[in-house]
Amino acid sequence: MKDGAHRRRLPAAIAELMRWGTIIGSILVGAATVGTTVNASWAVPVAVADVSVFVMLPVIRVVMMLAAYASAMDVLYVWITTALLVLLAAATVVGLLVS
Amino acid sequence: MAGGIFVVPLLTLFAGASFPTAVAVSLVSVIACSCASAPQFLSARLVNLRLAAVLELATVAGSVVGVLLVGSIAPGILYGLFAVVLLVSAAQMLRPRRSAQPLGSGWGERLRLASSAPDAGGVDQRYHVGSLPIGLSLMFGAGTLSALLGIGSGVLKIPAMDAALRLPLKVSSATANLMIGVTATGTAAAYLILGKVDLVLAGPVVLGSVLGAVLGARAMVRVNGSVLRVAFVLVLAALAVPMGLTAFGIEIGPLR
Repeated sequence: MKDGAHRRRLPAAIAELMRWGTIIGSILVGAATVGTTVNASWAVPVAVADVSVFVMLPVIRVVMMLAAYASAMDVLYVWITTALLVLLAAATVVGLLVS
Repeated sequence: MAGGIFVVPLLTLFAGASFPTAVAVSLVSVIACSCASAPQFLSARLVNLRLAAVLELATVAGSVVGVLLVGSIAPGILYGLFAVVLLVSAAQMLRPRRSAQPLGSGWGERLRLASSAPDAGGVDQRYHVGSLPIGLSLMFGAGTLSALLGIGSGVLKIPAMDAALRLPLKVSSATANLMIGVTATGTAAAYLILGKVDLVLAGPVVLGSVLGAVLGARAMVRVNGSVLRVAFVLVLAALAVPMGLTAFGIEIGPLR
């Protein structure tokens, strides 16, 4: 019962996350583009923020999936999403060390 | 398709960006494209979230290998590899799709990956997932290419989901679209922290990707698929030629 409920709610919650994340990220991109054009001092921090919003959205999505599977006691998928987060962290660390 | 396959050639050939700069900007645009079109596909119940999580293990592991290879591959080889990816993508577009559904493999059943999605008439159709080991291997390659070339790697994800996993076409497109965001995130985060993302260039590219993704997801149902396919093949082939020439040190003057 609980499993069925989270199966219905999780896609809707992720859709909302992606929708609002994209709107906020796009507003920040627009502001940063205007700021860069007029050489505003706040343009660079806003540009970093907009790229960060987009980079973080997929990570937040995986964390949401982990929380949903944990609340549904779906141990297998808790392990899978946890491993995914560890791999994402590894990709970032390796990227930092190699680049 | 996330558009990275167009962004990198356009930035390197027309905007004069270096290959690493184009890759960093393209990865951010790929994530933005994935995020922008995801709500539409999730609302339509076309995304298999469990399958996405399983396959993302392979794509992200592949991206770690890709990141390790980045510094050791000469730019000429990367341009050549990109030209090959463009041509293979064009060939994929022309290939007929498989429609036969598998009964479900051992791994697919154990991981409870079977699901249902609405067909063209809106009626829910149950589907099973085919050979997961082959699918995971192809996804690993897709992740490596994604980190190396700054693309979403639809070129490998489409055959993986179509031929190996035997998913319905709309389910594979929607699930792959969600996956490309996570695949690109690890590498993009490293580039962002290191300050290698050209923020001035990234802004317009990201906005364009978001707009294109939203309009594309809505138009997908109305546009004539075969006309779109032919147009895509022509554009991909047209971009493959200068990328291939650059790989051999021949730069086409007016483009740079």
